[in-house]
Order: sequence, then C-alpha cells, then structure tokens
Amino acid sequence: MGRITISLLLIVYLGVLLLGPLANPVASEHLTGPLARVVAPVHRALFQGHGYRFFAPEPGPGHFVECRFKMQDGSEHVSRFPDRQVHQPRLLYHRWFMLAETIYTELNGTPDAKSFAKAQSTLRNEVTELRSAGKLKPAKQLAARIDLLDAEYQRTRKRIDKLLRSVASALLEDQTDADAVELALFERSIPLPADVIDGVKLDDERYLSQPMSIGQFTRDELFSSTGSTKLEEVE
Amino acid sequence: MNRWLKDWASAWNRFWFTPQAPTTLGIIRWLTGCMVFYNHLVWSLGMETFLGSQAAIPADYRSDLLVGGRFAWSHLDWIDSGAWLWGSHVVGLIVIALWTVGFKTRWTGWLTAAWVISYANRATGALFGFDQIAAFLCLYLAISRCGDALSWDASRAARRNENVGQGRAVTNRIATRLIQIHLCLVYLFAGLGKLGGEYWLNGEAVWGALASYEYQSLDMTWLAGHMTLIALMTLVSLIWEVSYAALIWPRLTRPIVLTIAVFVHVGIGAAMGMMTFGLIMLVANLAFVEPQWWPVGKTIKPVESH
Repeated sequence: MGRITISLLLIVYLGVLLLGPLANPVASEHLTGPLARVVAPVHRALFQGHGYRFFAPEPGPGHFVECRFKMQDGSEHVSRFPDRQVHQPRLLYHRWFMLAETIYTELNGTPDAKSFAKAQSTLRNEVTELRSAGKLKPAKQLAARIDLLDAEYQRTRKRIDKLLRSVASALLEDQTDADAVELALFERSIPLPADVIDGVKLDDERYLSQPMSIGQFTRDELFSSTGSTKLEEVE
Repeated sequence: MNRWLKDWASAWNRFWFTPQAPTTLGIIRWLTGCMVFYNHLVWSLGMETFLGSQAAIPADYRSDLLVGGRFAWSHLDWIDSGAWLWGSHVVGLIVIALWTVGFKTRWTGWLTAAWVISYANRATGALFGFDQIAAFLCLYLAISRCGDALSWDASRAARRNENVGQGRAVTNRIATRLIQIHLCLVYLFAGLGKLGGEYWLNGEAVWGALASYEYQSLDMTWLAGHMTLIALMTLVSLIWEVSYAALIWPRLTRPIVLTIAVFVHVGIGAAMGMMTFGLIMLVANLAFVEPQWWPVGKTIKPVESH
C-alpha cells in the first residue's frame, strides 16, 4: 500500500476514534451524534468508541446489590455483590463491582412506570391544549415525541427487566438450595474527612442509603419458559 | 503556500513513516500479554457467570444498550455448552501465551486482539478501563512487527542466522503512533470530563476516590488530616491529565509527564484496588519510550523492512 493510501486510512481512522469520546457520554444532536451513529459498527466491531471519562465529572458514591436468598428449608441466606471477602482476586471483585454499577446506572437513569406515565400524561394534556388553541403543527410534533418517548421507555424497561432476570438466574444457578432471591440496591456515600478523623469507618452504616428494591425472583418463574417479571415489580 | 504544504507533507511522513526498531513494542507485547493472560485466567473464575450462554448479563444486552450494538461481535455468543466454552477458553489462553512469548507473532497477535475484543464485547456491563486500554494495545501491536524483538520468533531467526524482521519497520512506527495518539485522547477526555466536576476544582476529588469503601484496597484515610496534600494531589492529577496530550511530546517535558504517570497509576492501583488498570496504563505509556533508550535490543540492525 502506498503512503497516500495509508495516510488517508489513518486520517479516517483517527476521525472515527475521536468520535468515541466526542459522542459519549454526551453528543451533539446535530453533529457528533449522527456521525457516531454512522461509525458505530466500526466502534463496536473493534471495541472502540468509549468516552474515557474515568472518575469524571467526580468520584461518586459506590453501589452494591444485596441478595436475600429464600432457602428450601425456609431459612434465609444473605450475600452481596461485590463482596471483597468472597470475590477474589481483586480483578474478579471489580467485575462484580462493575455489574452492580451497571444495574445502578440502568435503574437510576430510568423512571419507574408510574412516574413515566405521569410525565407522559402531562405531555398529552399539553397536546390537547395546543390543539384547542389551534396550534396544530406543534401539537403534532409533541404527539410524535410522546410516541417516541413511549417506545424508547418500553425498550429500556424491557432491557433492564431482562438484565435483572438474568442476574437473578445466575445467582440462583450458584445457590442451588435457594427457591427465590430478593435483590436490593444500596448506595454508599463518601464520608467527610472530619467524620473519618473522628474515627468513623468507611463502611459505617450511616453512609448507606435506603435500599432501592429491585425485585423478588423465584426459581420457578425464572426457569420456566413462560415466566416473566412484571415491570412494576422491579422498581 | 507550496512550501508550507511541502513542510506539512514532510513532517507527516517523518511522523508516521520513519522506520522504527521493535524493542519498545516487544516490551509492550510482553507486558500486555502477561496482563491479558492474567485477565483471562481470572475470567476462568467467573466463566459461566459472566461469559456463558446463561450468564448474569444476557448475550443480547449490548445490542439493546449500544448504538450499533449488533456489531459488537463475540464468538462466545455461538457457544451453548459449558464444555465448548471451556475448550474455547483454554484455546484463548494458549494463543495469548504464544503471543506473549512471541511465537508466530504475526498470527497470534491478530488472534489475541480478536480474543480480547470478543470477551470484552460479551462482558459488556462488567467492564472497566483495563478492558478498553488492553483492547487497543493488542489491536495496534497486531499491525506492528513487535515479534521481531524479545520473542521466540526473533531467537529462532537468530539461531538460523536469518535476517527476517530484524530491522526497523514502518509498521512499528505506525503502531507506536497509534498507541501514543490514542493514549493522548484517553487522558485529554478523562481530564476534560473532570473539569465539569466541582470536586476536582475544589481539590477534594482524590479524597472522594480514596475514601470510597467499594474501591478502597489500601487504607489512606490518614490523609483526612492533610487536606492540603489531598488538594495538591487532586490539582496535580487534573492538570497533568488535561495537559498530557501537549506535554508528552517535547523531550524536555516528557520525562516529567511520564514520572507523574507512574505516581498516579501506581497510586490508583495500590489504593483503589485497580492494579490491573494502573499497570496497563503504564504499559501504554511505554510507547513514549524511544527504542534506543532500552538496554536491550541495541543490536537491531538499521535495515528498513516495510
């Protein structure tokens, strides 16, 4: 290959590379977003296109998932992930940690069914008002947006539901004596330096948020071909 | 104008197409190979949970989550049985080990890159910075002649008195430049992202990182009484990250930037339990160490092999 061809390939590749962090996590609706969608196959095939926002905009609270197993003998067994005592070596711990963070990101970024329905209802009222005022074009645009939001929401809830069911299934695969597992997400905030100077430990319970219930999953429901968790249950 | 364009073309040619000895890339191959091998060994402890057909993360999660997600291929999607999963895993470990020692490097390099990308795609949702850096290192090393140094291939060629690949190559230069530019992008956007956060500018971010129980691997809470030091560490990290892409190129500032990189990444690795991430970032930084700076590989002949 000649130098000119290689140079052109390099320029194109560097452009593709640059679009990763320019479009992730935030993209321009009019430039980097559409361009990133065009090059997405390359990003995905080569595992590129990342945002590289390590510890940005700032180090945030940590998250873990508590798993309450209902055992066949009626007892309860509690575990969590990540768990530094169980998940060794540290790299394995970090995989579980990232899974907990993914669950947090998914749930935190998606409103529950009730809140979403309320927001959509408000938008629908606006459409009615616009129509009453004779503003048909904006009303039509808003109605189209409502449909788009609805479709997007259903898609997201389906993805989250599938992820949570899959996590629960994997946990029950490991815990063969359990009939069901109840999952809850905890957030641990960063202690103030003054508290630590006073002798408070980083794992003190005062830094834990109220648990966010993820849902209860039974073995029968998860491993039967027709079972499905209602979306409301996971919020 | 004509002169200006000629100068540009000449600088571009020098930057991308000056043949380079394989020593640095050979060292990067060894270190990346060892880390990727270790990563795959650790995946062995969570094969069914993270990579199997019934894993905690559904196989189609990434295609639902990511734009263009259906192109995030993984050979693991085609494997249903545990026996095949383990068989493929063992093959992967062997390939990575062969690439690390530099056996048939031209082939094992591409296979290793494919393996790393395949695993990373499948495990979407359980990934972190290490996977991103390891993937691009493997990819760029695959296009280079990194097997011409510190390798089984090179030793065998030397024993046979062959001259194959014992010289400087343009592909080595291109691979090195790609690693360097990619690393600059990583640091630039990591730094720019931090500018939007209050705690990086008020000097408390390093405390937030060190006092996170989920990350903590070394008790650094004694620093709570030394917030001036925390602020200094925070601001040095921030300025270093934002300016890395500019200051790493001049020979005058490069040693300073690389020295700070060692402190930052060893610190992250030791205190925040991310030694794999810290080390792979340092390995990538080696791309800025000129081949002639190494005590090994001095005998590499200045022969061009395109």
